[in-house]
Amino acid sequence: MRTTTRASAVVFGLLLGCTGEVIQPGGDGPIPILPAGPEFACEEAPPVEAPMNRLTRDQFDNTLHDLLTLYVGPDRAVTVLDAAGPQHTLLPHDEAPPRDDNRFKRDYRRWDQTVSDIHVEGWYLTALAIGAELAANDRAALLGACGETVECARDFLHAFASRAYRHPIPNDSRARLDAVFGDAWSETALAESIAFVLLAPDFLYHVEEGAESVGGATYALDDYELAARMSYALWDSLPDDELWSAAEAGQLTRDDDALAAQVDRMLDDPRSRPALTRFFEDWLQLSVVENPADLSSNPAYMAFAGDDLPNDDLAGAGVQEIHDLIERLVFEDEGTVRDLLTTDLAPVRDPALARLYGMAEPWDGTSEPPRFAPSERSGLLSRFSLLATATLLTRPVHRGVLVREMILCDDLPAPPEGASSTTIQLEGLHSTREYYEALTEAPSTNCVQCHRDLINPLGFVMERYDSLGRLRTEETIFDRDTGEVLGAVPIDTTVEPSLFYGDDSRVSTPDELGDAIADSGKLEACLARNVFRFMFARQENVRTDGCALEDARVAGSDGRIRDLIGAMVLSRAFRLRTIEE
Amino acid sequence: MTERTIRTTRRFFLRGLGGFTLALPFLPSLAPARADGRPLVPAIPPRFISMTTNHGAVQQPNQVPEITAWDEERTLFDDYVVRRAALRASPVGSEVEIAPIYGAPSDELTSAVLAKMNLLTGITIPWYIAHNTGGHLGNMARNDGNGGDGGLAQGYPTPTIDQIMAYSPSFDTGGTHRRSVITGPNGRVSWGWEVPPASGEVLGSGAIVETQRTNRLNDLFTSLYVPPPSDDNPEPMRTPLVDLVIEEYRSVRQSNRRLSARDRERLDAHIARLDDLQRRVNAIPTAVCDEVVFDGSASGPAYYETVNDILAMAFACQTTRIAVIGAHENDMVSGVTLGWHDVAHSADDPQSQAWLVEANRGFFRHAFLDLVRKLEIDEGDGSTILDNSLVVWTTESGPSTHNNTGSNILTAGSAAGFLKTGMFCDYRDMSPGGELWRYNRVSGLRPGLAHNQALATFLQAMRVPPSEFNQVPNCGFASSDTPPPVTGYGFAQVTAPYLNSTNRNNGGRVNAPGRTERTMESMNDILPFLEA
Repeated sequence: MRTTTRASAVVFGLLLGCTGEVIQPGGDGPIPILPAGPEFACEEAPPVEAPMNRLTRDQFDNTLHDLLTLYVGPDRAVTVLDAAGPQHTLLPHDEAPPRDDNRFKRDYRRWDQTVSDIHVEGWYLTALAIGAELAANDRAALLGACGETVECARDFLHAFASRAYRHPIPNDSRARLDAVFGDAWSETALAESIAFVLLAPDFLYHVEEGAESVGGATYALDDYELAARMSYALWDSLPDDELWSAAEAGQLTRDDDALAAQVDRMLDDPRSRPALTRFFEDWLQLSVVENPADLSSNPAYMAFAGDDLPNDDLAGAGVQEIHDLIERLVFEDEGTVRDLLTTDLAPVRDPALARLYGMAEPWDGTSEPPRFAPSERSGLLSRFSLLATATLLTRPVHRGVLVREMILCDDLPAPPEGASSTTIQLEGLHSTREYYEALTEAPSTNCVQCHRDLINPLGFVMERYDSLGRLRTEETIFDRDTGEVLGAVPIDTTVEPSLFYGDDSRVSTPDELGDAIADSGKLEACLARNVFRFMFARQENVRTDGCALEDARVAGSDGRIRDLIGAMVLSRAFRLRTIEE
Repeated sequence: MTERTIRTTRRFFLRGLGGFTLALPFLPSLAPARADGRPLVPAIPPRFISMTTNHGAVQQPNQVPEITAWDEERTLFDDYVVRRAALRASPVGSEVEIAPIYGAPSDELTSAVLAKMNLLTGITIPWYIAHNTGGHLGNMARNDGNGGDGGLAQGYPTPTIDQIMAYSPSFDTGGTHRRSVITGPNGRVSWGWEVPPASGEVLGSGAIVETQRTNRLNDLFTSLYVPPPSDDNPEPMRTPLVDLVIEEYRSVRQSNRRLSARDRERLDAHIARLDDLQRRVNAIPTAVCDEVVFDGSASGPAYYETVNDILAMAFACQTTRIAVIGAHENDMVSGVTLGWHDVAHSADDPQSQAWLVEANRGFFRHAFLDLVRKLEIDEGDGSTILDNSLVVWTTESGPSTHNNTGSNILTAGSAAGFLKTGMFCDYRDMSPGGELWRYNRVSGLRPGLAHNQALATFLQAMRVPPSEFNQVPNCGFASSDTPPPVTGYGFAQVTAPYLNSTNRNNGGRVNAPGRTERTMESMNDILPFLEA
């Protein structure tokens, strides 16, 4: 019997699969949730308490590199770290934990605060290796003209520990460090003392004790703590000499202009690029982009892909495109928040990806990037990394959920009980949209409200692209066993996106959707929330964090992306910590 | 330096990915005795290996063997009868199989191997948990929050049994390099306390956090391979640095610096890990392996086979006694044109069911059976590592995805003589009232004994007594709206409304109100038929 991908293949919503069974009569009512408004109420309130975080893996690596660079220079810093390579590789990489405990939604890698036996062993072995390497080969650079004496070693270690700890070394810690070195000079004592510093809580954790209370248990950070918070937020590393000097001079807490100038300088510094690229990677969940390359033996997929059969590098090429796009928008072209959803820049280096997009040739990586016709692709949502499904079919429910939650920051309720296995059979050839409408939008079910009003429209409008992210005007149906083309059905991408309560507008193309979202004001509000989550490594609280969110939102509503990011760092909340002892 | 004897007659082989083979002489130590005279490591230390896969959705005929004559039937109460038969494999095509998802060539799935395995069916989480990764080993809170029950359960996190074992005074991991190793592509299976129990203690403190996973092969090898001492090793330290670092953390912890209570809790967690590092730094190795070099990567079935190679080495070299593999069964099948989640949700489609069977059969052969065979390493007393292990394969859901009713658990090894093996045990309630209330239009689902009873069985097989694991918060079952709860491992949102026969949840049996509650009354009992 002939089978087709559409007539019998069964496709289910990733998050909101549904039985169509009547569980709650009357479910065909209004939208069940009200998307949050774009504005945040700013009422000065103390930030919620959050425990001190450890250095992330990136922060650990960068801090070691930049700390060693201060003493032995950048080239030697690299070779010292290389010497610790075998031990260093044991350290786990951070993982973005699932949001709301849901495996399909991710937060930020900075939120990973796991401290396991492997972490502790990795830190320990790395510190030992670095200490041994420096003590064996870099004593002259570390101790200078002072020489190999106990006093000189202690002077070095005090200074070294201060920079490593990101604040002057506390007196009791100084005494313990002196005790570690002991009373007699030796290379071993130096090696172990360096390792001791790199294993101390003041090095591995962001210890913030605050300066003075601004009310109750909330304290203003001191200059050193603020400098460290700034440098780890924007660079994933410790303060450089200039920022350290500003902290020493007390400028950061005393002079708002000096603080703003530092933020501007730090955003211009190349160190901000990898750190902020990690923000976009996590926000857009690029770490879970699947490579659709394991279907090369499937006749239907071969027929579908044609000359665009993915190779093993395509997923990486798609992520690279997003990196390049962010690089241009945030750091080089002074892009606006709106540009995130409307840009026509096409920084596509990979030939296979360029061909898939229909480009005449890939970008050379250095010249001004080519541009898409706006009607073809605009903004992040129209790119391979956010479109490809690693399967033959698109997943409009998945796409809809991602846009609703990731771009609009609307919280969808968990799927109802019973959202599980069932099969629907539609006669004849039909589109993916028709299938999902039949599956999830049946009247009087507990599925229809969320799917019809909140999820499906945002996915259906993206049906303009197939599961490889190629532009299409109709949906081709293949025999799933032989790959034979059975026919084609028209694409219907006209939807009511319901971007906010009362929104009855209609859009028909992805670029219209991008414009509508940008016009709604929800994009900069959502970006502000996500930048907050990244910067503070915690969930925002719209009541107590409203001012910081609003500062950033306003900065992003008529400014550059970097203005929104900078505004978050300059917010009052960024300078405070609540410490419930 | 510890004195060691080399027994070159016992060699363990680590197969490299390029087909090369590395001879790994196994070097058991003449380990010194403790002060109390007990050996440093029990003569036959049990090991625990958990393998977990997602989704389930394999239809019953594809995962349950057909039995015409039972060897034993036992009435648990009323007309609820459980049954057992010998575990057998029948020829099908060129291979043999227990059921379609448990098939392999006859020279791999031999009668000798079958005699060391158990297939348990009817294992049930008697409420709606849907998608979860924590349920396999007892942290029911780690679910996606689907439906009402899942959301409720999220409020009751619990350490998983592998971590209970890892810190149990009775399990005694003191001689191992790693208390446990968590690997595989699927995370969030293993959970423990942020501040693990101190030596000799049962309970830890702080939040329940995911146990660190090591899924890249090179990292897994590095974390488990302890090279033998060499002349190149650095000079011993004047004072072990780890001791000084612990003192630094304690000093900061106890200082008058302005730290929050949660800051201090984080320092406590760090100190606990440092204590463990100190234990390992100061430990006298109970065995060492010769030089082994591993460098490789693999995907699909080869990934799991290589993980097994490394784990077999680790067990042979006694660098760990607990391993958890969070697996993706779909790694075993290619050419699937749907997302795997969609495949599970369309399990009644013939093509999807065929993919599910192929994936699970592949996992059985290349992951479970492969490890079982590799653990047949002589322990020196006539037993093998497999004999002294308990290998457990659990699935996220039963025959209907999102529903953990009537699931299978496949085991191997007797846990050093604690369990009988070679059986197919059917715990499904096949009585007239035992059928599950219609679920998602899927009929024929039969709840059986609770998954938590299986977890308690596994703990006891590892010699962790109920007197220990019953102390764990959020364990035990409220058998009605009015406690007291009964004892047992792992939280289940089980209250009268959830068990009512007219309720649609997993535990509700047709015309048999209260029957699931009855199964809760013996949660610490070893599962029927298994106790040796």
